[in-house]
Amino acid sequence: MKVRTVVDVFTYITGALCIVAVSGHIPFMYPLLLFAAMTLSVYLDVKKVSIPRWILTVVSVAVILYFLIRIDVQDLIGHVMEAIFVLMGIKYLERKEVRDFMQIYALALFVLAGLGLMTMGMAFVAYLLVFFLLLSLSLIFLTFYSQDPEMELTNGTVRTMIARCLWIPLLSIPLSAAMFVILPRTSYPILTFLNRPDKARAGFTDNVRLGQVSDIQEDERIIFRATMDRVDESSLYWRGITLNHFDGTSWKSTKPGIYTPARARGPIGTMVSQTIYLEPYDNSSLFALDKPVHIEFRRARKNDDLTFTIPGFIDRRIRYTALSALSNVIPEENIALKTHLQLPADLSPRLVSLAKGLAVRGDRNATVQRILGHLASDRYSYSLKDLPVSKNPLETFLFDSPRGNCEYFASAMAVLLRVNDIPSRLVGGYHGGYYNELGNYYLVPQKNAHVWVEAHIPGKGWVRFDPTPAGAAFSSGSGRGVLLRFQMFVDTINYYWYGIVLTYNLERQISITRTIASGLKRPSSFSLSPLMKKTAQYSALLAAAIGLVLLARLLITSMKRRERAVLDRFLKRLEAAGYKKHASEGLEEFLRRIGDDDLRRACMEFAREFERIYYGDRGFTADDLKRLNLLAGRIDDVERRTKSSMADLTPGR
Amino acid sequence: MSISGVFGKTNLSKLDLTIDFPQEIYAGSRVPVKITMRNRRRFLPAFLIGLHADRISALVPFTPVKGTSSVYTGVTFHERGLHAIEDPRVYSVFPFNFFTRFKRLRLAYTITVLPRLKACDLASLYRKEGRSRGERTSDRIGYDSDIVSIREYVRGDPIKYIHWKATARTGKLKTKEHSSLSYQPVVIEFDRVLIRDIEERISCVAYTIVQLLRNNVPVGLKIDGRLYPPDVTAVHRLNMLRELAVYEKHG
Repeated sequence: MKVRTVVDVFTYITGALCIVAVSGHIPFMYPLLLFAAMTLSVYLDVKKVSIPRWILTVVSVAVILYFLIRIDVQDLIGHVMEAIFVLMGIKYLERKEVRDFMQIYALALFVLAGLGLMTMGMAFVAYLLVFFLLLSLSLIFLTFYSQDPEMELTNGTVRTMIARCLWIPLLSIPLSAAMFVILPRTSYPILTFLNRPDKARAGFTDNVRLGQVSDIQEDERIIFRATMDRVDESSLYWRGITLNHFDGTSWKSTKPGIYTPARARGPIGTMVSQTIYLEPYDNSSLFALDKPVHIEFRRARKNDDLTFTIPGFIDRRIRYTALSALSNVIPEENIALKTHLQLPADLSPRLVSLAKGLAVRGDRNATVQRILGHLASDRYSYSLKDLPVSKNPLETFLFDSPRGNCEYFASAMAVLLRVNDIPSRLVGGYHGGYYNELGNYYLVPQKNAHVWVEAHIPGKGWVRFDPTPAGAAFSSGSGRGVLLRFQMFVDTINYYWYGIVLTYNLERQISITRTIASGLKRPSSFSLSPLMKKTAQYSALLAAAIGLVLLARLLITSMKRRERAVLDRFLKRLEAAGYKKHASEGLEEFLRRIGDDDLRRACMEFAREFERIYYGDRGFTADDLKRLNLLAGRIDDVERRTKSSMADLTPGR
Repeated sequence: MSISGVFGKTNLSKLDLTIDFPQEIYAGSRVPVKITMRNRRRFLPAFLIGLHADRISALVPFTPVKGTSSVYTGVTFHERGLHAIEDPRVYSVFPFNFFTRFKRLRLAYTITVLPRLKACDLASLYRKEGRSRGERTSDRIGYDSDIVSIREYVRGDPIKYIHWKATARTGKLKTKEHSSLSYQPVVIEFDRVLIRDIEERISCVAYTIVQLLRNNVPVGLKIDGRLYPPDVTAVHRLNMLRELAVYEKHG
């Protein structure tokens, strides 16, 4: 097989890989164009014709100019990728020399880099690996081609070469992984500006609008994952935002002030720490379990309603740690009454009379319970379909069409409370989530977006109430059916990919270094699970055993080798003097060939001594070896003497 | 990069190289050289090993583990005499053609390059003097001269040598055996060849020796006070040519 053929095959596979990898990420036309070019190239190769280089060069320049003119900063990567595909296609059409192949590989590398910026998913890693293996092999065969374009190899040789040379990329994978961990990195991503901003996700919004749509689509996409231990399902309220201004159809958030510790005591409850991987979405709230106490994230701002925000939108995947006190009460006394009792001026009289009817004079607690009880009655049911669409949606919900989602229930409750002079607000966030046992994290999809109510009860503070009937699909079960379990498994892999690889930054590096350093200082604090401990113990034992066996073997062979080494040195000296022992010759037989009498005598002496011990009934002692070395050394003396006498005889000296 | 470096380094380790030269190498003519590569490694085949030794360069694309492979290459030596080929260098661009790695092998070859053969009229002079063949009858069997004996026909004997009379007489095919004519032995006295330029003279003498021996003329050589008595064997020829090859080079 011609090396050229192998190189060709690898190069076409590389092109095919590029096509497969980007399909779906850039307009379909471009991969198709590359495919057509590749097909044409195969045809040209077979027919042994080629398109003149200058034509293709002109076309390439034209393509580059075209893409430069219509370049778009919004989707820089996409456009660059498209251009690369066209250029790659042209490259395939050229009569390919070594540099052309190299250029094709370089373009393919760009395609892959672009793909990395576009997706960052696990698939990218798979493509990267395949491409890496392919590229290494291609380069090796290209090296062969560059040395001799006409070189032919047998199929067996090609197979052996592939099998052996694959080790180069394979061995470099662990090395690269180590590099990934060690190499310093900034906490400010440099290349994010190249990122195509992810599409905004519906679900959580910073306002609640009623009466606009009748059907709500459930969005299965994931909004965040939270690494933490499992907690009671009733506390799975992920706080995001508070809404306190109602204008009759929608709730809005008045800009909350910065949290000041003097104004309120912190919530009291079990402290739970979470590490949250938040997907990009078009808002600025950071989520954490109710009630968040602290969020560790650059630029995160803690607001006085115990929500956290960052300036600007969350336009890329972020990771932060949050500390929450599991409690449904915020012990806060001095609240802005006016804000939290605000109601629209044109509130429906029916609603007001319903609210008054539910009041228990002088007992706020009982009033809250009655309102809650009213909404929990069979009259009202949870639904995402046929929602009330009207100008006065809350009235329609409460009296005419008692079906709604959490937004209706929460709005209704908050308004009913406010009519009764009980300060209240809506809290937006998520409720529930699937717990993934494999990865120890909660998976929260968009459809779990939720709104609940906080009412201010004197003496207690802000108390959480959730008027939405159970049965809303916030299931946090960990195993509902095989499909879900499989989805969870797939998500676990994704989770680790995001958690370990993509969000790896300077911060993590420092923390890992610290952990290792402290572990080295105080080994006892380096806690291992029992399974790990046992594994470590057994591996240590096994390693020790193997080590002992190897040591014993080394000792035995070295004993044997010592006399062999003496003999070898002896023979080497003779070889330097011009006498070489053939493998088939006996030692004495060989020595008898030596012409020089003095030398032969000296050698014989050594040989006799050696044989006496070698064929004798005892092994070589250290003394024997020393003596033998001394005897062998005499050869050099004899040799030196001979040489000097010869030098004397040489005329002119 | 580092892994490829390790592979590149390993690729040049544990290699044995032998270079086989033909017995007669004449200056100025291209001769084939056989290069045999032996790979003593257990894991990695030897890839793309190039060889640089004096004028010899070759490329051995692939040598399997614990195996050998050989390539032939041509080489031209332009000057007669002893040529030492020392410490040949092997090199390789394996694996990625980014770097070329060299390694010196501890090997030494000494080869004698025989003088360039240059047609000259020494032989014609010789012929002009009438010392052609026929002057001496040798006792060797040939096809030239008198019938020495008659023997049984052996397949392959030319028909013209069949002794028809004897065949008819005995009823079996008989072949004539003739004696061969040999040439008058010649001794070339190097110092008395009248060509001033030493190199020219050497070339001429060498050519004459080769030509005469090709025609089975026993040739001797007197050079530097040494005499090579006339003979026709290959060893003798080589000895004379070697003498010419190193003439004035060593003394």
